[in-house]
Amino acid sequence: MATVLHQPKQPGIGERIYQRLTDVPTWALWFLVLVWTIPSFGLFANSFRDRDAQRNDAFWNLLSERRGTLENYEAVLSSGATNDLTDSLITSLAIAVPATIIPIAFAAFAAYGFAWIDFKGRKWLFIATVSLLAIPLQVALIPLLQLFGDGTPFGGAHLTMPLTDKTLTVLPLNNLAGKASSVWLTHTGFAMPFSIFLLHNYISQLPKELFESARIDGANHFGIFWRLVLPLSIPALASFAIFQFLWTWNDYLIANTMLGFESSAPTTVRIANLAGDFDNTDHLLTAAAFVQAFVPVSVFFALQRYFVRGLLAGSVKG
Amino acid sequence: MTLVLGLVTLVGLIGFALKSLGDLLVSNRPKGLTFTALLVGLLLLIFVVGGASLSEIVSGRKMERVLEMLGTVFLSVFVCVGVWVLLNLFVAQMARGWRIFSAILGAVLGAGFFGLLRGNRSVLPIFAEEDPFELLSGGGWLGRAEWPVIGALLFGVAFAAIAAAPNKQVRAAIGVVAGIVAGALLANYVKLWHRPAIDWVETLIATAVVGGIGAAIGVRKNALVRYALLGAGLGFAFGAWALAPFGRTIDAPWIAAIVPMVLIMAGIGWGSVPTERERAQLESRAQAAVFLAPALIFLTIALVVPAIRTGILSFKDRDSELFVGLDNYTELFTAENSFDTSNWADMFTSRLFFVAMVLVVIGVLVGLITGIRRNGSASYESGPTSVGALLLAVFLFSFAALSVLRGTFFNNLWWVLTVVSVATALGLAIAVLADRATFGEKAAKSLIFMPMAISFVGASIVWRLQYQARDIRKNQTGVLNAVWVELGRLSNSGAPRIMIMIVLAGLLALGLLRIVRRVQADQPFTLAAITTFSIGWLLYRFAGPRLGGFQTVNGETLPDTVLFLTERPFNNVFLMIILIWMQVGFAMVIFSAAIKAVPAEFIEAAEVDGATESQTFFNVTLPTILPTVGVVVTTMIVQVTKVFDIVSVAGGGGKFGNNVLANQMFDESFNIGNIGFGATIAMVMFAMVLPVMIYNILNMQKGAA
Repeated sequence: MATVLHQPKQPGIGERIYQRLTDVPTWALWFLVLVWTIPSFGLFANSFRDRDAQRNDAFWNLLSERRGTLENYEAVLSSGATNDLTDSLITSLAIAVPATIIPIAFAAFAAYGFAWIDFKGRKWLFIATVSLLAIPLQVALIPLLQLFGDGTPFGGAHLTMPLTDKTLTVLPLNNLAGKASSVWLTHTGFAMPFSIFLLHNYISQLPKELFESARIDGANHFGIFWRLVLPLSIPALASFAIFQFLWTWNDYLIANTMLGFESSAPTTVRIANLAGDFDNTDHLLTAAAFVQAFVPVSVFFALQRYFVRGLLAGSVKG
Repeated sequence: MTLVLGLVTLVGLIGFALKSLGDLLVSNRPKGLTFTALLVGLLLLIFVVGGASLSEIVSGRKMERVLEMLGTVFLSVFVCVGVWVLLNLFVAQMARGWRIFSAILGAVLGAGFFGLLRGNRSVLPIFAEEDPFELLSGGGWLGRAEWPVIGALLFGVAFAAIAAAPNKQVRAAIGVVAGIVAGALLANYVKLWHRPAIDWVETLIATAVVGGIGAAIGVRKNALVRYALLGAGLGFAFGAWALAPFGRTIDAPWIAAIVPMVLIMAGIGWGSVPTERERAQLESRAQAAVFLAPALIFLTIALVVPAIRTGILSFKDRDSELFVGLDNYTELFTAENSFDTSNWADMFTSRLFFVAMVLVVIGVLVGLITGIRRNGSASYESGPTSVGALLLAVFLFSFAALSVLRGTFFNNLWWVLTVVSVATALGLAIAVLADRATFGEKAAKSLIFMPMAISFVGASIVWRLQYQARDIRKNQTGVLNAVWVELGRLSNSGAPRIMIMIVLAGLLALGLLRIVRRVQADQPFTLAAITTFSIGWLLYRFAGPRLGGFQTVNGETLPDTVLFLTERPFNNVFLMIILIWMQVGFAMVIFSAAIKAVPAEFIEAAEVDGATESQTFFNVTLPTILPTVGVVVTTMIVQVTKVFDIVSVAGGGGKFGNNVLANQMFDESFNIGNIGFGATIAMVMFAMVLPVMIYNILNMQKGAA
């Protein structure tokens, strides 16, 4: 009897196998994982098959065909080719990097200001800022495109003064139309409410004593921000950076609005245009989509923990 | 071969760099910032150089573009951060270095003012017919550097002198001199056709009104003369330059230029120098402004002003010239492709409707049976099974209704209903499964979460491939159609079909046995019942009407495909599946964290009380994570309302009866060019997400407080 009583602690090999086999939740989970990965895996497998293979069979024939090829990747990655994506990759990067760093910097400044500098109306200004989250992108697109030029004679902001018929040019931006800058400037503006909210959550939680002792030592706000707050907020900044980088790299709407007709349009726009061209380049889409997704997916897998933390801290991005 | 090597090296290097970045972030030391910056730089360099030149490392044109890109990126980042740091240093001068502060302030204001005038081409160049300094091609803006430089010098010196002067009178005198110099300069160089024909009555009225306002402010601030002078100067400038017509007189505009400049500069001079304490106070306020300014400026330019402008544009015609009142809104709400209810009666004959009715009956019956067993009377008692069946029925009713109602608005509603409920339910289910899984929890979650990192465009491409349908005589390349056709072939075959039917019959028997056992043991058997019913249904399909993609033509059985992306109305649903595929990971991660945060004592207490696992979930876990469900649902509602990319890329631009608001907005504004109508759609979308966002923001405020 004693051995029987001890058995639950050390189940025999047969019992363990039986437990594994009847472990329905785990099998159900992995079945779902399989379903979830087949589509992306199918695309990945197809990217190594040439045009004829892709057109004649589904992706699982890759192994039986025994003629995997890299020619799709060569077609989208060698400069000079018709469907060369390298220019677009550079543009995507030229957008995503400033559109990640600059909003973080500005939002960190503002978050510190809202959290630790006393001034009249601080609470209301903060609420107003965060409330701007409610504005969907679409609402600002037309005026922003006009601000940056949009092929009309001049972009920029013009102020028509009241009671008069005179117009004053306040911001002349007529050379930004079709440039990567127009996209990251837009991203920067749009990232503000969310990033300020997220970083404010973190920065306002830093211990108060830290600031008081620094104040006594004669440090001003700039010094405190630069030497104390910035280094201490790296985890929060990293979380948001990953979020924002994926968001801007993967963005299609703003890029398509601002740079839709440029030859060096960002990758998402180029791929969407390739997808519209059904007959000739369909087989390149697989490689192109994989090249486009390679950057965010590797960032995602390497820094997943921070990404998740950012997501949990403020799952409100609009 | 080079390509392969290049790719492998690239992947390795990027992986390594990211890993070390992660390690540094974990250690969280102040020094980490420098390292992180270095590593990010290295990473980008590797990627850009690698991406641009896998096949040809240093081809001239590409390198040029890479360098140009790096240059622009660094320039923009450094300008943005650098200006801010400089501003901080500048403000820090306020308390101790008042004179330096004044000089810099004057220089900046002067440069801005003269630059604005030159930028609007109101004044002639001073030194030459053509401007000697073309610094930037800003369309006569910064490019004409001489005016900003002169302005900076003139006002910088004047402000410094005012800050250094011993008393009020001297300061005002310096101000008057500076005002005369600046005014004379402007009067001398203002372009002929920008000279005003001053209307003295209007000018004096403007001077009096603005001067009065200034005086009123001055009384409150205890500096009557100063603010009255400033107000009068601004009022005079407005009256003389803005209200009067230009170019009617060839007189030199001495009065119009000098009077306001003198008034304003005298006003700046007249007044006491702030004491050290006042300056310290001012400094802390200015610091707040410096910290908030970049964010607020961007918010204003990119969000507030455009939103107001779009609101105005929505009341104008297609070229934004004439006001048309509510015409755009009327058109949007009455258009045939916005709301199309012509097929509403079909809903009652649809299969979905029938299934939903059956579910209602089941739900009510289960509730009644529970009531009888528990209370002994025929009263409804809610339980997971009956509530679940009723909820599913409500979902199916709405789904059935939205599948027959056509039009952009109904499509949008359909998207929100389907994606939000399915992704939330699936996300919750997967989170629960992962929580109970004995192995591979992390890996499984990562893989399900992964689609979140892919762009909407990428996801659309992925699924387009799976949805492909080819000629029925050829092999199918899309997974779904391949499976569907194979299923059709199997259910029409001989021996394989019999084999499958035998297996299914065996499974059915096992399921029935399990139900009987569970009933005998007085345990809930909902899950077993659902599984058994599904198996029974499959068996029926195989035995009777068959299953899968096939068609019978003249007695011959041929394969048949589904046109997933074009066949109305369910092509909408297949687009929704793409978004569900992407969003389930999001819901799962949030729910997973919430489930792990449920206090262990709650679960233990329930187990001690003898609750089964499902009872614990429905009575303890689910109520605890209900607020999280609210967050996930509202977040997704906002996102799904704005869905654009998928319809645009995979949905053929909304041509197949699958248009949604965001896509229509893009089409109208940027392809068709009907700005007024596009703005109207944008405003309607704004109105649609506003209630949800307000709820969200209120929640956030509560959470943050």
